[in-house]
Amino acid sequence: MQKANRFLLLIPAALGIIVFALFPLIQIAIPTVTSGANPIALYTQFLQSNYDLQVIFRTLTIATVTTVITVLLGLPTALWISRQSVSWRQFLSVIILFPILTNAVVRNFAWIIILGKNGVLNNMLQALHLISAPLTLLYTNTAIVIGSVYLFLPIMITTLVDSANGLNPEIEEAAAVLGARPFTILREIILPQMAPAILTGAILVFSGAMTAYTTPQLLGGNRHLVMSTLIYQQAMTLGNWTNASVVAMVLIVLSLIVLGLLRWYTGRLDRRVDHA
Amino acid sequence: MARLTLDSLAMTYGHGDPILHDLSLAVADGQLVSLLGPSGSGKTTTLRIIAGLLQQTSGTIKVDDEDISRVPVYKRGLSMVFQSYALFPHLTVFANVAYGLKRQKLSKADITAKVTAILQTTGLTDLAERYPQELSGGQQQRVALARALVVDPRLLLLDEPLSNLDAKLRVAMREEIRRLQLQLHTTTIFVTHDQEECFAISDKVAVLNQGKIEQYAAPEEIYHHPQTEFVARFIGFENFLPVNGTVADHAYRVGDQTVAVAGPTKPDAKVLTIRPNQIQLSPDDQGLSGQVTIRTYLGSAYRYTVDSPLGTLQIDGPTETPVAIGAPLHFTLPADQLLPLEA
Ligand SMILES: Nc1ncnc2c1ncn2[C@@H]1O[C@H](COP(=O)(O)OP(=O)(O)OP(=O)(O)O)[C@@H](O)[C@H]1O
Ligand SMILES: [Mg+2]
Repeated sequence: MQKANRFLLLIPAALGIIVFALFPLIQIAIPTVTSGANPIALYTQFLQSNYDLQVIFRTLTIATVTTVITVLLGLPTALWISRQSVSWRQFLSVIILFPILTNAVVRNFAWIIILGKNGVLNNMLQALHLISAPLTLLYTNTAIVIGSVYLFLPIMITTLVDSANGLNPEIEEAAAVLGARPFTILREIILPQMAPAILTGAILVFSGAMTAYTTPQLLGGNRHLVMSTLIYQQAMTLGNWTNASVVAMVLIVLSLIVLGLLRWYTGRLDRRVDHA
Repeated sequence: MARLTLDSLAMTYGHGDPILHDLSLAVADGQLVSLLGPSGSGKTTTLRIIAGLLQQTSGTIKVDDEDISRVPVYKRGLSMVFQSYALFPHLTVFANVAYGLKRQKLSKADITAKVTAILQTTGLTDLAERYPQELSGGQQQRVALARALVVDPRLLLLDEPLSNLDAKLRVAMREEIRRLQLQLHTTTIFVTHDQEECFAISDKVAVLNQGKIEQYAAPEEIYHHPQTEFVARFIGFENFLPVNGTVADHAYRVGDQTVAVAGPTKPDAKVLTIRPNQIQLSPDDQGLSGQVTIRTYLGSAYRYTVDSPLGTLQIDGPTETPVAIGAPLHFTLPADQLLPLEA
């Protein structure tokens, strides 16, 4: 086929990308340029406001902590699942997906019931006399992290189970015969082989947690805004679309930077493993 | 560099049937012994028990005079080459080979010296910085071997290490293994289901059948004097004539025929066996006569399936004078080649 023809065939797909991906992005950026104010000033103003910086910092922290916790919980779970019999493994893989399959509002109301002042958890701890007064759990950063971990853990586990299923047990046995104890095998043989999958999972969870809206809205309340809830507040409550756009642009750029770093690191690992 | 003694090993997976029964084997220092047997006979199971990757149900394993039956795998000081090679995909060839030495906490200088030496011996020097995915099957095999040998193991365990290679490379690599094994004087257990392969390189061969050792002897002994029908079948005897009695002390009764043998007859013999190429074709109207039903071209000979008064026989004949299917074939059974078996 001629080269020109091939480019012609690409046009529909290219149009799709432009219309559905780039156009909304440009739409987001436009208000920051057409508002009449100096666009640079809008951004510097935003980045100099203590309140706004706090929101940025909270967003990054919650996304990072969520990612780290899903890795820490996901790894042992995935390794355990991958070492079960095939039928049991399939059953578990479906069960794991449950949180994603429930409606976001219902899911978070469940957490409100659990974490509230008179919630299930506080009642239980008090009944056991572990605490004397109810703890403030709901409408905190912790609540957002708990909700996000619950939501994104299935994605992490699914990504890691895939990778763990592909491990050749003879490789671990080879290390054992050469003198490696179980914990050494985990550290020196299993984790390095799973590193690309851990990074992939981290990319998925981090970008999800950075941009999630329902969970921080319902579990964080109005005093613990993250960037997505700040955007909503600016646009829908205050009607300030210019500011909303500024926050959105900063969110996109920050996400791209972090994801770019993770991708770059994954690329280095991939070079190591899949030359073939 | 050690003696290996297996004493009455038995193994049962879960609640299943026993896989190994009362398996005993003594391997002398510096010998290469093959475990030969069909698929499912328990070769891998035996090897994994020796390595400590599986716990035997009963029985003991000794290296020299040390009982290692309950020693965990990472303390046994053995080496193993897996059928899949099991190289560490995230490490270079150099780091793969260095892994065992690193676990022994050797100094960096010692590790580098030893790894460099073994890479030299195995012809891998130029590949040291490659990753396993960038190597051919034969090269991966060498790396697995180098990784196993560099730690100077008391015992080297090889589980069908050549089965993923093509025929030519297989011959070259088995000679390589034998050369290294002799050079380093490493006591070695070599698992295979290929009789030619194991005869070529072994000091002794243990033929395994359903978790039992049927015969343990030098390759020549097994080739010429298989002790059981199972061993005989496995190493290329194709003709088994059921014996229903003896005639004086020089012949057996097979059906309504009398078959003479050299040497005194054994009263307990159950079958007479002979290889297809040991049966001799004779001129017409001499010896026994049968009818050819199948003819197979083997390259160096024709193999005939022959209906004869002794039953169906496999007989090899020269390619210069082919016998047609349906035509009669005359043959004699040389008395000194017939082997009576008691089991
Ligand atoms: N993990 C296991 N659980 C239950 N049975 C097993 C297990 N591993 C092996 N077996 C059974 O043990 C028997 C011996 O298996 P083993 O792998 O030792 O055979 P092998 O001689 O190495 O065969 P091959 O030449 O095919 O590798 C087989 O019948 C096999 O089905
Ligand atoms: Mg096997």
